[in-house]
Parts: sequence; C-alpha cells; structure tokens
Amino acid sequence: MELLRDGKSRFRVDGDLTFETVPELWHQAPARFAGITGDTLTVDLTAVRRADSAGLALLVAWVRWGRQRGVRVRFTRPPKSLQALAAAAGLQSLLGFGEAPGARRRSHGEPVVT
Amino acid sequence: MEKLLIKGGRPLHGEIRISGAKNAVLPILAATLLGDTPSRVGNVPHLKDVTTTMELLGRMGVSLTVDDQMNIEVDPRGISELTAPYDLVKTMRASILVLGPLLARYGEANVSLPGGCAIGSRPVDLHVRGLEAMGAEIRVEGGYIRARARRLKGARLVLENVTVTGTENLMMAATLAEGTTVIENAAREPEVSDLATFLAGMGARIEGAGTDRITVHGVDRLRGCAHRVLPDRIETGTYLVAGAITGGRVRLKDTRPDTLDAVLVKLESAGARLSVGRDWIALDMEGRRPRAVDVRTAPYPAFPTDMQAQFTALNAVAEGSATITETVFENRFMHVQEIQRMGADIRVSGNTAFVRGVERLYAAPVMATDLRASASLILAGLVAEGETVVDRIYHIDRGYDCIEEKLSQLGADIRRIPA
Repeated sequence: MELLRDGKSRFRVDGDLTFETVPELWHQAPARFAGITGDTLTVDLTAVRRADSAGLALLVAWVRWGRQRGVRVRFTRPPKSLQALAAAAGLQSLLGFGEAPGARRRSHGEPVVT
Repeated sequence: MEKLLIKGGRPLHGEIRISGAKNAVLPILAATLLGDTPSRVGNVPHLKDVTTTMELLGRMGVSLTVDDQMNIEVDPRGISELTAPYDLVKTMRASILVLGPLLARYGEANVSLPGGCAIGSRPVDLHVRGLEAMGAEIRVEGGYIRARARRLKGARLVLENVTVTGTENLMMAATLAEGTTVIENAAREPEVSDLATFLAGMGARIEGAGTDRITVHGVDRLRGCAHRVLPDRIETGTYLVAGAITGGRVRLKDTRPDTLDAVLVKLESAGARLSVGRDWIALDMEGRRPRAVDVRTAPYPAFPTDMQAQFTALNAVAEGSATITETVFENRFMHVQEIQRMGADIRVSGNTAFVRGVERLYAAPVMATDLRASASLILAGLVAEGETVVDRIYHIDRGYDCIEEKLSQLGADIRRIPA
C-alpha cells in the first residue's frame, strides 16, 4: 500500500487500507502531507483495493490533521466498500462522502455483548 | 466490598503505559482452544475478567503458564471438560466466547447462560442461531446451552443486529467448519480484527475482518501461535479524559492512536492540545477548563459507546452545554443519577442526555453500576471538591488494569479501601 503524490496538494492511495496496513500509513502520512500548499488537500481513493473500518478510521485521522491546520481534506472517488462503511458509522458528512449507491444503513441496535 | 476513595482537585501530570485490550484478549484466550498446539498471548492486562477466563480454561483441563510480563502460554492439549459452569459464567458474560471454539474443535460445548452487567438486553440468540445454521444441534436445558455437532458446515449467516461477541464466536467456529462461512452485518471493531489476526496466525483463512462481511474458509486444523494483544483504546480514551477533566497534561505510551481518532477529534473540540506518535498520545489542557462537546455514539470508527459515560463526566464540568446521544445500547445512562448526586446538571430524555456544565462538582458516596459508568464516577471524583467514595468497584476491576496505581502515577489522590 502506498501514498503517492500526484501534485502539490494531491495524493493518491494505492493498495489496501486495512487493519494490517493502516498503522504504517497513519504514521507516515503527516510528514508526507506537511509540504502541501493551499487550503485544500485532495486524496484520491480510486486505487484502494480492500478497505475496512481501520481504513475508514485513517480517513478520520486525516480530517483531524486538516482541522488542526485549517486545511480542508477532500476525498475523491471512494470505493463503494468505504462508502458503505462510512454510512454505517454515520461518518459520510465528516468525510464528505455522498450516500453510496446501493448502500444501506446496517442495524446497530442492541449489540449482544461487548 | 472494596471501595475507592478519591480526593479531587489535582490536575493530572505524567506518563503511564496502556495495557492490552480487554475486548481483544478475552476472545483470543478463547480462540486458543481451537489449536492443536500451545499458543502464547502477550500484552495481557491484569483484569478480573482475564483471571476468570483463565480459571474457566483451567477447569476445562487446559494448562496455563503466566510469566512476570503477563505473557500467557495456553496449552489446550489436556482438555477434558467441555463445560463453562454457571458460577463462572454468571460473573462474566464473555464466557459465552468458548461456545464456538469448543463446538468447532471438540464437537461439544455446554455453556451456562450468561449473567453480566446490566446494560440493555444482550441475548445470546444470535450466537445460537448462527451455530444452528452451521449444523449444530443446540438445546437449552437447566440454564445451559448444550451444543453438539460432528463437524460444523459453512453457511451464510446474516446477523440481525451487530454483535461483537456474536461475530467473534461465529468467526472462531467457522475456522474449523467444512466449507466457507460468510458472516453478514458483522461487527467492525478493531478487537474483531485483532482476533482475526490471531486466528490467521493459527492457520485460519479469513477475509474481510473489520468490514461488515467476513468470509471464513474452513480448514482441517489450526496450530497454536504467538500474538501480542492490541492496546486498549477505551483505557487510552479514559486516561485522556482524566487529563482533560483535571486541566492536566498526560502522556500515554504503548497505545495505538489510529484506533481512536473519533475520540481525539472530540478532545480537541473540548480544548485539548494533542500530539501523537506511532505508539503514544500526549494531551495538554494547559490548566484550562474543558469546553462542552456534543457526542453521538455509533459503530466503529465513529465515537464509541464505551467512551460515552466518560464524556458525560467531562461535559458535567465543562464550559457550556452539550448533548450526548446514545445510539448503540439502550439503558446506558445509569451513571447520570450518580453524577447528579455530585451536583451535575444533566437531564435525560430517551437516548439523549442534555448536560449543562457546572463550575464545580462536590464529593459524594456513589455507586458503580457497570464498567464504563464506574470510570465516569472516578473521573468526576478527580475534579470534585472533597472525598468521593466509589462503591461496587468490582465493575472497574473487570475492565481497567491497576486503575488506582495508574492514576496515582499521574498524581491523583486515590486509594482502595479494603472490604
């Protein structure tokens, strides 16, 4: 999994955004983002192959990184799997995702045990 | 019954280590039953629920060796008893986690119906129905779930509600089933992913952990493996709130910051200055009173229900007003009445608590009603004027490793009063 620079303030994620890959990218990304210019950081998610809730948490971390610096973080072309996860967690608006085509909110009432 | 005595008013300063996650270590210890050879589990927290799980496994004939670093070697080869008895299960409902592994590996399991703490309704029907769909014969008799199966068969399981232990139990059972199992509407918490990582180390074939669709391709056997348990994100969040509520400065090491960004977002909104590294988080309130923050609980990676009570305490002494909306559990505002007894201005309507911050809380004898409620009462006690006595702290010992030692290390005046 790689975080590739596509321009001064544009990046592209290529690979898996999962529990296994996220810690390294979580650690590396702030240094990679540090040199951006302007008030918007764009991250293209077209090339994300597999994603899970840890990957979604990483996107939340990047939004938080942007808020600390007054930078708007914009995600483009998220895969359906990420859109569905964001919908289930109620994070579409924070991440700027629209409603995923075909995505449906999962029930999360009354978990049996934690 | 032991109690905690807290003298409030000291800002917390210092550094502590975060322990392994309770919600990861319990299923991982249960999963060791699936192996043909011993497993070694590291970063195990000192918790009552861990001790109970070890006793449960020990009574089955499993051999356990613990070293001074709390690494546990679990050797299931001597297993002779396939029962989780009522006297243990009633103290820890997570005992249900041995149901799937025992049935999958040994073809039989007898697990008492669980008790546990009083948060909402937590039926085990989904565990039972899932195993039945995989071919198990299950009856409930004398308060026990009695399950039998020659070999479980892969199936498509659609969980009616998202359930963390249900997902874990069925995922473990599916590892040794014949064919492929698909679990739909699965829980996505990092502790589920950590269990999947452990099972993969044993030789299981699992795809999609951390998503709502987990696919497990059954294998014929699993071997033991070594695994280090994920750091506890809820313990991490609780100590961050402890720093924030007291206007202090704390640094937490050996944690996983990437697992709790939704909490970090809220702490920053409350006015905390945060810095993070690969395995540490530092919070500095610079002596300021926190600002009130709205919170809405939702499935991971959104704001966790297990942090709701702690943020209720934070808002109780914050500047301004905030709403806390609980969407995951029913009946999870039992801490509110106790914090109100300390002078908090909180009104509950349905699944929402409206909190108007007050400048000061006042010490009172309070009673813990569940694990996270207990944490919120301790947090309130840290800032209350006078000596707060928290009763029924056995709840806190189930989920927080050495809490009074860690808080003392940060400068809190807290001590345990023996029974």
